[in-house]
Amino acid sequence: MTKLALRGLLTRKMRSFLTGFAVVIGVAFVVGTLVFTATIDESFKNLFERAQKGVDVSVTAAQPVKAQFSIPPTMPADTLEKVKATSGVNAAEGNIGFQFGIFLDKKGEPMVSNGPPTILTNAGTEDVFNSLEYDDDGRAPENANEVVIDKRTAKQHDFKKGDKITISGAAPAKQFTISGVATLGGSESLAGSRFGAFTVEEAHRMAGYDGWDSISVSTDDPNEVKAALQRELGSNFEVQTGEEAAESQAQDLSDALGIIRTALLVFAGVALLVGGFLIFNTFTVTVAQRTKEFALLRVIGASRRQVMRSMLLETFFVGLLASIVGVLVGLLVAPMLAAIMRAGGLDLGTTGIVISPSTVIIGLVVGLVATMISGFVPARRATRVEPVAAMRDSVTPGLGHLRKRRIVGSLGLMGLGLLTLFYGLFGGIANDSAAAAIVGLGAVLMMFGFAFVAPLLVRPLARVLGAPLVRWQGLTGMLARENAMRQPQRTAVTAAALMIGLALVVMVAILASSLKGGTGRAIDDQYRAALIVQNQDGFSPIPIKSTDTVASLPGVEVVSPTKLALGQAKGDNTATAVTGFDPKTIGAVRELKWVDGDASTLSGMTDSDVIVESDWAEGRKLNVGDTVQFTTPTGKQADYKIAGTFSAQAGLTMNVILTNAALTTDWGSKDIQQVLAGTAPGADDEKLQQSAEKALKQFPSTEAFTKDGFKEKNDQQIQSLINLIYGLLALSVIVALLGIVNTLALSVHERTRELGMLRAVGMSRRQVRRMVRAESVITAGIGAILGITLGIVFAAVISRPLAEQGLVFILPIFTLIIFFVFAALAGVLAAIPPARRAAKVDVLRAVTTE
Amino acid sequence: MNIVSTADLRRTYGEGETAVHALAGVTLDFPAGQFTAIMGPSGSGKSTLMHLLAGLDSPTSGSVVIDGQELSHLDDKGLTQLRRDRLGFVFQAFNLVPVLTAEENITLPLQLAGRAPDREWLDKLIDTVALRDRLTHRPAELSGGQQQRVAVARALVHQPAVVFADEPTGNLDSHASEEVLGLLRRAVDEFNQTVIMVTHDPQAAAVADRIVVLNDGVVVHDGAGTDAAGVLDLMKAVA
Repeated sequence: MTKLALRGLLTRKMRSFLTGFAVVIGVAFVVGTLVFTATIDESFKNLFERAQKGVDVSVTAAQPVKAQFSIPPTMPADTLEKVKATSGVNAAEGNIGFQFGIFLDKKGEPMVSNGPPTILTNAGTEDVFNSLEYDDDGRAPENANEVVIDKRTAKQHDFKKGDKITISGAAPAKQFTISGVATLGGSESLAGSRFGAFTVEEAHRMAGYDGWDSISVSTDDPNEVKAALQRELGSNFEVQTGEEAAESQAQDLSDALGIIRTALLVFAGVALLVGGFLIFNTFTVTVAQRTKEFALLRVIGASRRQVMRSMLLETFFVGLLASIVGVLVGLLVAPMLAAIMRAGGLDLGTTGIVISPSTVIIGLVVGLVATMISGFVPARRATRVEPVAAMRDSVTPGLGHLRKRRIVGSLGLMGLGLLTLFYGLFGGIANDSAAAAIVGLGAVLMMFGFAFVAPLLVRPLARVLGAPLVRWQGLTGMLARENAMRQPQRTAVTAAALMIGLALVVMVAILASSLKGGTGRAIDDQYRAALIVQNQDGFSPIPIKSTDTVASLPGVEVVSPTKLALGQAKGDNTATAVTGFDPKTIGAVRELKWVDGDASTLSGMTDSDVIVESDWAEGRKLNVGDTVQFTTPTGKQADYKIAGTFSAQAGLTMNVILTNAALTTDWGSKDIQQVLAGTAPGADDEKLQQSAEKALKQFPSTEAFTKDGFKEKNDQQIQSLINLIYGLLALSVIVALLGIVNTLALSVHERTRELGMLRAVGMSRRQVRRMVRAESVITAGIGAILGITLGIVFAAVISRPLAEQGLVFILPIFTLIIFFVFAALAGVLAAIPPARRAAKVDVLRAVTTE
Repeated sequence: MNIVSTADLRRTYGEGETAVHALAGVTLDFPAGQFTAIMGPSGSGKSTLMHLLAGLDSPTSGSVVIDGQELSHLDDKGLTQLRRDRLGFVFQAFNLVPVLTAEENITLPLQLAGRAPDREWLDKLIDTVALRDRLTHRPAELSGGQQQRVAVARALVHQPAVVFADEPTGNLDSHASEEVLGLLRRAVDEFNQTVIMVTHDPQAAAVADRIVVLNDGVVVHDGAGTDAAGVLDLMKAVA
């Protein structure tokens, strides 16, 4: 039986290869993701360890409110003296780490990167802590006009020692001379972050404060000194050994990485799912074609189990080989993923790859399991072949006569899937990952349910889709349509593979357009401002001085800055983001959708008042008039009285609103989030925006928009993310298309006699090709219709919980039509190899062959 | 000693008015060591009879006993084992597993049973069918006649109680036909095999010891073998 299995595979090498290919892609994706993220993890760990070289103890401010990537407050300048005075300290140096620096490139444009910040720091004078290594004859800055930049920025933007570069921070933009290009701890950048190192005085000026973000300590006895320092400084400070500090820094990034890893693995999972369909389909078709062979074996006396074992062995070998190849390809995929991330703006500056044995094993297991599961049902079908089928005139029993069972089973599956989906979305599951997993499971169940009933939909769909083809192509179109309808199960499974990929793509497209539309409408409703100034990246702070700049622009009547801060409400265990408004001016430029309150509530806010989002309040059983306590980043516990509630729309405001003054005093908030400007009615907004851009050039981190421009920018940001998702889904769609090629090729082979007969009777090669092409287009079209329908359903379900947030369900009809056309074109492409094969059938051999 | 016997064998497809009576009551006995040819026009039921005799199908009523075993008492597993250990088959076409060599095809029943072939017997068979130099070839590399000879060898390798042949010469030219028929004849004469062959070829029937003719689901003639001309007369009489 083993011999039979192996021999069978080797003889049909091409077919086995095509079958396995689908799994190869899925496994490669999985392995690529794991290697990619493991590499980054490792690189970061190494980086932070090396950057902390010489640092035995590290002092930072304690963070009463900790959220991912939250920045610890700056320590007062005298902390350094206190540290140096502590016994056991051999040397201590203060470090500045201002995270909102902006570099301008040689064209004067700000260097933007989505994710890693640009850090402005001091170059440091103590050798023991120095981990900067200079290129050539580079050196540390010696005066206020010099800077050292990271090697990666230098390479990317063609800067070298001696060049001039413009940098801005809290202080306005200034030109510096590059005194050296450096690597940090051997890396060309700080985990993707750019850095600029100045003299300590200049660094303070650029950062806008004279305190320290961290203090490095060199000592002979780290643990002793750590304890001593903690005692000496008190609970507002966090003292760690150098190792601990490096680890916790790496951990933060690792957590963020975990999210990326999960997301990528989801896409890999989709690719595998599609691949599974492909395998199922191919094996089903081959089993049908080998009916006589199985019947013969059964006649000769092979038991059902022996036939099953032979088929399972074949499946196993295909799976094993495909998984091995997949793992190898995956090792190549990792650098490709890094490139895709870079294109999407996320440059983490890593090189090399980290391969662990567990990654390889996971890849192999995943591939094998996917193959075996997909191949199981076809294997069982092989055992159902009756021995009598080996005889001369016996008729193969028809498949799929269990119509009612199919409908019931399918509805059941879809219902179950829908319920699971709802549970994940509305069941109030605390753990986000668990909820996402349940939603995913629901989606998969629904897809299977839909695929299960698909064969019953093939005939009517084929009739509809085929109608234009019949009209246009005549006989070949009709034959194509008949072929697609002849074995609805096979057509359905092939189409189902495409359906999965398309359903996801469509869902993403609909959600994107809904998001854009919803955000657009919310902006229209809530923003009265003629001018909106914010950071290039949309969320980082901007320098306070930009408010004055905007106020001085001609035509500006009202200027209202907003703030953003992180705090923790009493009773919560995660941080809450808080918006700051200036009650005296905000009313002219912003509106809220009130639940309990109105514009006067906002303008009448005192510094001890708070306005909260109505669901947020409900969830915590709070009403207007109640007091809510927050722990602020300074460690203070502050109480505020709820003055009103509103409904948040499209995330334009955070759930909690305080006055700017309150945030400054109680929360230590030093910078602003946005500057909103109002003008007299009839003012020219475009002109204002242009003069704003000019005036704000000294603050390169800022960007100015008219209201329309602001909407566009939001659309763009959504679109970038969407494009990234499309890219990752594209893989699955490609696998599905390969599936079409595969099935078509098998089907052509199976119909050799019929094709020969058609050619004998007078069909030209061209007509044969057109017939095969038409069949492919119909199959792809069916997949597209099923996929689009399913995608719309998914999007509708998922957008429900977001509807209250102002998400408007918008069907991008035009985009959907484009998807459908693409699918049809893909069908044409997929048909090229099989059509050529079909046209080449040797007429004589075909009609006389067995 | 009857190797195969049937009693009032009936097979009906469908029901009521559209019922088709493929076999309408056939009672036959097949003694050991006899070469029987079953003939009849299309639709006579000869193929159905073969299916039932070989346990590939179940009768609507009536019984089939092979080598003392009543077939209706066997489940699928039992029937499978019966076919593997005690029956041999030669079909008109597609006898062989395409990916196995000639030798592997011949020993297939034994491999399925997990038994090693009796080397002496195997060699004798191979030489009888004269395929010594073709053992490592795959079916695609063999001529039609050679393929049938492999099939005959396979049908005999496990020394079955009875060999069923369904139009074994249907796809062969007269020379190859002669060879295959000769082999079947030798199996009966030298190895004391029982052969039941369905055919419409007079040349083939002429090799048999006994000719049974079916028409419309019943036996219309059951007599001694005769030459090709005699067979043709029989067919004409029945038509």
